[in-house]
Amino acid sequence: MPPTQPIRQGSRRARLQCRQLKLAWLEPVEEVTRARRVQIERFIPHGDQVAGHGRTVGQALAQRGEGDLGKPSGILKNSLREKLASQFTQNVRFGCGAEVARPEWVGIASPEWLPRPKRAVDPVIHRERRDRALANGDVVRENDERVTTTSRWSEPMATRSKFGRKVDDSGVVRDEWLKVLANLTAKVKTWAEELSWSTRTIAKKMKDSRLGEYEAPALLMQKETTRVLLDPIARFTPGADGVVDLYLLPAYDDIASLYLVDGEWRLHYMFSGSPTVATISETEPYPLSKDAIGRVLEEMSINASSAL
Amino acid sequence: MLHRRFDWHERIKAIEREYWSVREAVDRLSADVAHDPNALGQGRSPRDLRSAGENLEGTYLVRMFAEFETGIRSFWRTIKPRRTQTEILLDQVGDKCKVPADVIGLIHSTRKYRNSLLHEREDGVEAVTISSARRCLQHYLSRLPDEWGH
Repeated sequence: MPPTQPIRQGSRRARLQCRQLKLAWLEPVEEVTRARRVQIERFIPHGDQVAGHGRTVGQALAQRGEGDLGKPSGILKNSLREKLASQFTQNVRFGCGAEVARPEWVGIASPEWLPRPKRAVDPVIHRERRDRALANGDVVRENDERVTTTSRWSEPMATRSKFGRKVDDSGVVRDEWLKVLANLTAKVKTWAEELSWSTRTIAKKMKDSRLGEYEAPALLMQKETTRVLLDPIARFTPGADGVVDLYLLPAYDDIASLYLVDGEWRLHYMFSGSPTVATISETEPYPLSKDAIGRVLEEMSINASSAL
Repeated sequence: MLHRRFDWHERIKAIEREYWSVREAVDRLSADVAHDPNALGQGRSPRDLRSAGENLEGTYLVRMFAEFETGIRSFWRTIKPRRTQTEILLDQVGDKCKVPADVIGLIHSTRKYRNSLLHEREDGVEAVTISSARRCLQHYLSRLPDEWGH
C-alpha cells in the first residue's frame, strides 16, 4: 500500500523505508525538483558501486527490452512509472540494482543489499549433469543448452562494454597480481615498522578493463606528522608487470614509483643529489630493499614540511 | 550507501594521473605534427589539436573538481539532505570538519577558476594548475571522516 502521508527525504521514516525495501534512497517522483533530478543524474554515473556497473534505472529498463522506457536517468517520469507499475509487481528487482519497490517510489539499491549473483556454472560440470539427466531419461529444457558462464551482473550492457569483456585467465592473473601485492605490502610493512613507522593496511577498490573489479591491499605508513601511502595503481602497464606508487599524504604528492620487471620490484625515486629528470619514471631504477625504502621514507619526512 | 574517504582521494588522484598521460600523448602528437602535418590524419586540423592541448588542463581540472564536489555532497547529504550552493557547501563542510582557513581559501580559488572555465568568465580569476588543485582538494578531503553514509 502506498504511504498515506508523504515521506520527507532524509527523514527517519524515509531511512526506515529504505532499509525495509533495501534501497539506497527513496524519493517520491512527484516531489523531485529539477535541481534534485540533475543532482541524481550526476550522482548515478559516478556510482558504479551504487547502480551496479554504472547502469542507471533507465538503462536497466532498456536492457530488459523496455526500450521506450530506457532513458539515462535515475528518475522515471510519471507516465513511464505508471506503465512500469502496471507491468511489474511490487519489489521487482532489476539486474543493475535498480528496484521498483512501489509504484510511486523509485530507488537505487546498494550492492551489499542485493543478493549475491549466482555463481557461474562450469560448462564441463554442466554438460556432465545434463548427460546424466539425459541418460536417466529426465527432461532437459531447451534453454539449458545455453550454459551461463557469466554472472548476472556481468552480462553485456551499454555502459559496461569496456569492462564487460575480460581476458580468459583474468581470475588467474588477478590472483597472481594480488599475491604479488600482498607480498610487497607485507615486505614494506615489516621494513617500515623496523624503521619506527606505524602502518595500516587498507583495501583499495580497483577497476581494470581486463581484470574487472577487485580489491587490492594498500599500505598506509605514518611517522609523527608524515603520512605515506603505498598505492597499487595497475597490473598492466607498458614495460612492466605492475605499478605501485608512493604518495605523500594528505596532498597525494608523487614521491616514488615501483615497477615490477622480470619478477623484481624496481624503485624509481629522485634521490637528493641525483640528476633532475622530468618524471619519476625516468629516474634510474634501484632494486627494492629496506635501505632504499628507508631513504625514501626519510626524505619524505623532510619533504612533508614543505607540502602545502 | 557507505562512502569511504579513501575512495574519493583515489578518484581525484586517478584523474590527475589520467591528465598527465593525456598531456604526454597530446604533446608527443603535437611534436609529430610540427614535423609532419599529415601525422594528424585526414579531416583533423592542427589548430584543433593546439586548442585541445591548451584546454586540456582546464578540462581535467573541471572533472577533478566535479569528482571532489560529488564526494563532499555525498558527505553533506548525510548531515543535511538539501541542495546547497557549492560555495556555501564548502564553507559549511569546512567549518564542520575543521578544515584550515587557508585550505578553504585555496578551495575557493580553485572553485572560482573552475567557474571561469565553465562559464568563460574573464573577471581576473587567477589560474590554478591541476597539481595545486589536486593538492588543496586532497587536503580538504582529508579532514572528512574515514567513512560516511550507511
